[in-house]
Amino acid sequence: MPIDWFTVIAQGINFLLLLWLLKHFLYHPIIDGLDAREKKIAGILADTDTSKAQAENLRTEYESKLAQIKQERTQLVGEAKNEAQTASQNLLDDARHNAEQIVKKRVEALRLEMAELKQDVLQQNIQEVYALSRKVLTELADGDLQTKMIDKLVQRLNTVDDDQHAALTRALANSGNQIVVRSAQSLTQAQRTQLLACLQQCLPSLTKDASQNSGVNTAPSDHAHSIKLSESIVPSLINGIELTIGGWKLAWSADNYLAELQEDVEAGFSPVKEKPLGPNVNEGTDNPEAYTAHPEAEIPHA
Amino acid sequence: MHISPDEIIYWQYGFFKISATLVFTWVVMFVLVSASYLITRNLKKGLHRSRWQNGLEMLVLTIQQQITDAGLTKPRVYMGFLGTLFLFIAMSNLLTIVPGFEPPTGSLSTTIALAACVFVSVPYYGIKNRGIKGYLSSYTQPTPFMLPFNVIGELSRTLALAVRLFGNMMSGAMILAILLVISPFIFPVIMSVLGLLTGMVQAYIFFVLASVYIGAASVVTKQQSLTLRSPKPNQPKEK
Repeated sequence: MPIDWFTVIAQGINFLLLLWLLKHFLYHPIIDGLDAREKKIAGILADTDTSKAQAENLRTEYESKLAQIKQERTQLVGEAKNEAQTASQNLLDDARHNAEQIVKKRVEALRLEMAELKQDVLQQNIQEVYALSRKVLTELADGDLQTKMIDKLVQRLNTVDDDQHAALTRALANSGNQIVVRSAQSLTQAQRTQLLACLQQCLPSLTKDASQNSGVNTAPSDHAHSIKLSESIVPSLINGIELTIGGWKLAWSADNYLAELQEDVEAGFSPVKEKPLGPNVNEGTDNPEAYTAHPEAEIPHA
Repeated sequence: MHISPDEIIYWQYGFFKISATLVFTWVVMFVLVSASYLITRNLKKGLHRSRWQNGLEMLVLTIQQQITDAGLTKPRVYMGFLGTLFLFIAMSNLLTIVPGFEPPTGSLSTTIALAACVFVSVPYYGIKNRGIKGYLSSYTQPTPFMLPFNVIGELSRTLALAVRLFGNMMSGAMILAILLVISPFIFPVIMSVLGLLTGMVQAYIFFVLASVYIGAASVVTKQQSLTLRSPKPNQPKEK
């Protein structure tokens, strides 16, 4: 088995040539590629670590922000609850206040209604009392009562003061000695005589004063006879009698008493509306002064 | 029947001749270089790569790992030489599956040339790593009396490398040729497959033995030098 040394040398050269070619076309490109890839992977890993660190920082930051947001949310919710409670309390207070106002108005309305009702009842009672009194007095009215009333009128004529006396004198002169007598019932002869006697008794002074004031000289007797009594029957006077001399009127009648009584009672009850409900509502009606009637009723006429 | 492809001569001019060994060696070289060029011309350095590139990378990394396992700490320094040895032998043996192909490793001239390259590379890397004195002193280890034996061992292992590879590949080819005469069907196919396995094993053996020889000439001497330096604790540290 011979050894071909030329082939040996040639194969050696071939091997070295192959070594160089493979280094150039195989090992270096592959190893460089592997190094580049490793470097790239190392870079990616480094970037990953950096990104991980950044992500960790972001996570920490976001967690802190989240905690802050939760705290703010809790605070806002608490504030909202407080505001809601305050608003609710205000609404309740307003509603309670409104309810109280409504109740107060309603109570006031009820009180006024009750006062009006009571006033109506009182008014009705007064009317009833007035009508009853008028009926009683009407039924009791007779000649004796009228005589007493004439006596009372005569007594009144005798006690007039000077100012009234002067006014009556001027009124008598102005009316042409005309005296109008109004009564609920026709005067009896005795009553008429009594009245004339009273007038004749009073006339001298009246005539005298009238002559002095007006400058007319008239004899007392003539003057007395010149008095003209004009009688008229007015049933509404019930019990009473009126003397009208010119613009002056001297009267005594139950009708006047009752009218005054009604006016006083109504005037006495009118303040009741302003008074609150209570046991003093009938205070005006209980006051006897509210029903006091004046025996004399002088109504000056202009 | 040719025992060696050296006997097939296509052209000859005196001492110079072109035998089948050279021709098939060029074929192997062409296949290796052209395949490497085609795959690595569009090499992608990103994360996405072709399957061919992936295969080459696996091959290179496997060779690198095997060199590291053989005890060489800087595998990339030896990658070109040892890797080319392995690829050339493996590709020569693998191409025997192609009908008419005569493996160059079946030539004693080729195996002697490869063994001679290993024989030269061992002192080259040994002197490069340790220096000529350190390398030559390794022949006198453990005692100077071992110098002739070490020299004989160096020569004999080189011869063994060449003859081992040649014997295996030549025997495989011879067995296949004889079987084709005796039993031309089926059985030669099995033997051919077995020959592929044997060829890969021989390529690996050649590669590992070359790695071990180079490693023994460089790494071991480094360890010895470290052992000699360590027992001097009172000396100041070297800057």
